[in-house]
Amino acid sequence: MCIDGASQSDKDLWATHNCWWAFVLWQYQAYRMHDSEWNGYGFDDACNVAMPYPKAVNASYLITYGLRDDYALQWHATIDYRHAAEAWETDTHNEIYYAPSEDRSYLAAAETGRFLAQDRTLMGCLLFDLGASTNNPATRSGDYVHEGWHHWQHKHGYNPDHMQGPIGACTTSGSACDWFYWHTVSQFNFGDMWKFTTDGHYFHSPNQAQVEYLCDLAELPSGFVPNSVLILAKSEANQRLSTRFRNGVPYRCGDPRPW
Amino acid sequence: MPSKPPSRRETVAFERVVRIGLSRHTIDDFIRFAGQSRADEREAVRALIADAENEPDIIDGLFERYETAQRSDTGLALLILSIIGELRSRAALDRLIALVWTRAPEAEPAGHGALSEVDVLEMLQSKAAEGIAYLPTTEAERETLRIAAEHPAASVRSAAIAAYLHHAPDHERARARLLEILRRDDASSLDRTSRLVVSDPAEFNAALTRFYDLHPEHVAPEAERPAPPPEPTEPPRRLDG
Repeated sequence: MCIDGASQSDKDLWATHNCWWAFVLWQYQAYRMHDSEWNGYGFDDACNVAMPYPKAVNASYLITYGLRDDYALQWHATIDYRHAAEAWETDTHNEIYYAPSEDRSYLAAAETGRFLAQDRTLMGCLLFDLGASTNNPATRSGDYVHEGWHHWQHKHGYNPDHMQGPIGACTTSGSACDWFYWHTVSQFNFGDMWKFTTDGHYFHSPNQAQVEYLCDLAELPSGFVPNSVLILAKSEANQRLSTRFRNGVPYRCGDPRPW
Repeated sequence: MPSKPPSRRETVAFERVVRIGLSRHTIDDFIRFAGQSRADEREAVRALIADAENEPDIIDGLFERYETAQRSDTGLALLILSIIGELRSRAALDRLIALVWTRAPEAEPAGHGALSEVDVLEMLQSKAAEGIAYLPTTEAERETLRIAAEHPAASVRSAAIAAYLHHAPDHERARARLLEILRRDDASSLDRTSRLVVSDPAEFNAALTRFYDLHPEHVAPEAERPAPPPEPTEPPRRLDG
């Protein structure tokens, strides 16, 4: 099992909804998190943010309500990131489901093209362990988008693997590197993030989808989002921008002022 | 459709912490308040931190909390470093410098999507570099330039470069100074932009376009053409159906 306990940012975000029950009842269906997989991970104690399932709910809440949807400046809309994260079938990916995993060799893993089984995303204990640097709602919600984009790759016929690093400007070792396919803000209409052309003018890699979400969250959040969550979103976005792309990226995320 | 909805035993609820000033007696309460403060209260928190500029013993108290947090809660550690940096206290400089130059552990492959120990240290070091760059002293400026030029981590150099440019009173002069000292492969970072610095969408888009005009080597190649979908050998089935 994972090590139970909530980070400060999980508690801060949780305090903004305090287990809004109608949302919990929507979330488990939208993310297809079933009792059969999540039993023992807080599915039967869904208002206890120390447990993995409520933490997954917390991250879903962030992705569902955390952006102000500034059409002029955001990379993409809430609906785009929701379609990547949520489990039901859309233009972004086929229907999937989420399951917890005790594996700590990955943050989460999109399993695509499974034989005689539905595709799914496994959420590893690194997303939930007390003391893990990634036990926070910003990372968890960003990872929803990242893994959702692997499912996008599968649906649209692309190889869902990362490149092995280090390579080019990607300084991370292992299967961690992607290309960054640049676009301007407003190049994609809200709701059109899933669309693509093969020349790279309209295209996203999983790390790119993740940092565009994290950066939208850090820079253009809804007013209620706690600053502890925003500081994490900015830091993680910039770390990934500097270390996960084979080519140079044209922007940094957030205000360089400390607070 | 899933058959059984989640259930709750009891709701663990958290109350919002009331707004509180920062003093040596309120450090823990202020950290909790600052973490819970909302996005639209950022300026108000900055003002509260500025009010504490001359409070004694705050820096020591904040670094004590940082030392504990960096072992248990990265988000909390970043939050505390943000407060320390925003205080603009000369008393913090040596410890921020020591943190920035802490030697990273041997790089290990990051598991899929994970942040390695090195990533986490670099996130903390980047935040510390932003704090150094915000200090209005000659020594802090010299240290910011040293980080921008010599730090082994690209992410930390990038944070120092962006902060130095952001706070410089003369942007062009700062740019020229950086160009003299940066690694050659970091030069393109001088042309990076940010939506918080260039908040007009047309200007921001123009800055993105200019980056690639100046550095066409960073344009990604055409995405690999989709492979034909594999021939199904068995009809697809749903796990739950």
